[in-house]
Amino acid sequence: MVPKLRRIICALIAVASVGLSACGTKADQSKIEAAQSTVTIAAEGKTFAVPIEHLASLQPSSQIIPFGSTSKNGFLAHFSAAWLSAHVDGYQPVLNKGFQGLMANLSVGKQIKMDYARLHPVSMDLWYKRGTYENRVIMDKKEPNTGFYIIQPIPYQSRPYYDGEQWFLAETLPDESKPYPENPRWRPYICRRTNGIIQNSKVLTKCSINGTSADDIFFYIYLSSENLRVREPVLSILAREINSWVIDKEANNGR
Amino acid sequence: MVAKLSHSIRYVVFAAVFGLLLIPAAQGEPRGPIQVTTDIGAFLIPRQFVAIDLWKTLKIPPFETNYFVFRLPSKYVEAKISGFTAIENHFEQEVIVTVEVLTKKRHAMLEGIDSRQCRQENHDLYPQSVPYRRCEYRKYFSPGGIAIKYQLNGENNQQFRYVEALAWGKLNEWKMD
Repeated sequence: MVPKLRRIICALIAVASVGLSACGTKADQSKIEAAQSTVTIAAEGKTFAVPIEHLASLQPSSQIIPFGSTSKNGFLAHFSAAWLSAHVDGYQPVLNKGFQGLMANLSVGKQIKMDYARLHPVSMDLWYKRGTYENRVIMDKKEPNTGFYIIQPIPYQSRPYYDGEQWFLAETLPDESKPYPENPRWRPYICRRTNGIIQNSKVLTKCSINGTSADDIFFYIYLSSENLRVREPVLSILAREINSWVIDKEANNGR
Repeated sequence: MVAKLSHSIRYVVFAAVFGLLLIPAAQGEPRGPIQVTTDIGAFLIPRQFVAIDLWKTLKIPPFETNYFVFRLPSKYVEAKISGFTAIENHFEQEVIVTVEVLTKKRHAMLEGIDSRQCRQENHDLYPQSVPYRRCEYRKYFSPGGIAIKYQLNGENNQQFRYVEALAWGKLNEWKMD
C-alpha cells in the first residue's frame, strides 16, 4: 500500500509542478506583452490593434481559469472599472464590494450581422405572453432607480436562495393584444441576480446589453443594475473605443 | 477495509496537494501597499485605501495603467473633515475616487475641468424608499495632469472641497519619486 501511496503523491506533485510552471510561463508572457502598447487581433477579415490594458487574456480570471478570449469571428475585451468611471459621467466603479469593470464580447462579420437582424424569440414570446412566459407578471410601476418596468418570467415565489433568478427590464410595457413592435424593436434587457463570489459582497445584479460599434461589429456586455442609468453613454464610449482599434478603416465603411 | 482506507487516504492527499496549490495563489500576496505605475510615475497606495482589499485586486499583471481607483474610508474622512458623516440613512459613506493620469488626447478633453453634476437617488430601505442627493465631482490638477472623479451623498456634498483636497493630498503623499 505504501509504495502505491508514494506513487500517487509523486504523480500529484508532478501534475502540480507542471501546473505551476505553466502559470509562470503565462505570467512571463504577460510581462512581455505588457512591454508593447497594443496587440493585433484578427477577426473575420478585420484587424484590431487592441491596447494591452483591454486584453481579456491579461485579466486575473484568465490567469487562474484560462478561457478562450479570441475566436475566428470575435474576441473578448476588458474595460476596467476605473477606465469606465473616468470616461462615463455617473458610472459607479465600485458597488457591493465589487469592481464594476466589464468584459465586452465582440463579434465581427456578415453572419453575426444576419444573426442580430433576426427577431429575438425570447422577446417575442415575452411580448405575446406565450411559451415559457405565458404566466409572466408585469410590475405596473417603474422601478425608481433605473426607470424600467420589471417583468417577472413567472409569478414571484419567495425562495431562500435567489441565486440565478432572472427577470426582464423594459422601457415600455408588452401588450400581447398588439403586434410585436419591430421599428424600433421591443427588446427588454435580461437581468440575472447572483450571490457575490467575493467575501462580504451582497447580491449582484447584471443585465445583458447589446451594442454596435460599426455596421458589422457587435458586442454585448453585462452591466450592473445600478449602472443601467448610464447604459447609453457606456455603449457609446465602448463603440467609439472599439472602433478606434480597427486598423483597416476602409473595411469598416470609413466609420 | 484496506482498499477503503487507501481510497480515503488518496482523497485526503489529493485535497491537501490541491489546497497547497491554491493557498499561495489566493493568499500569497504580501499585505503591504499596492504599487500602481502610471505614465507620470508610480503611486504606492496603502492597503487601507485600496478600493477593494482582496488578493484579486493585486493579480493584474502588471499593474501599469493610467486609470485606478482608491477609497477614502468613511470613518477616516469623518475624522479628517468636520461635518462629514460616516453613516447616512444606514449606509456607509466611503468615498471612491477615480484617478486618471491624462494622456495627451484626454488632456485636451479634461484640462481645467471642475464640474459637479447632481441628481436625486433613492435608498431602497424596504418598505420605504428614501430620496437623497448624489453629486458627482470632477477636478483637474495641473501638476502631472491628473483628473479625479468622486461622488458624495446627501449632506456630505457640502464638504466636497475638503474631500477633494483630502484626495489630492493623499495622491501627493503616495506619489513615488
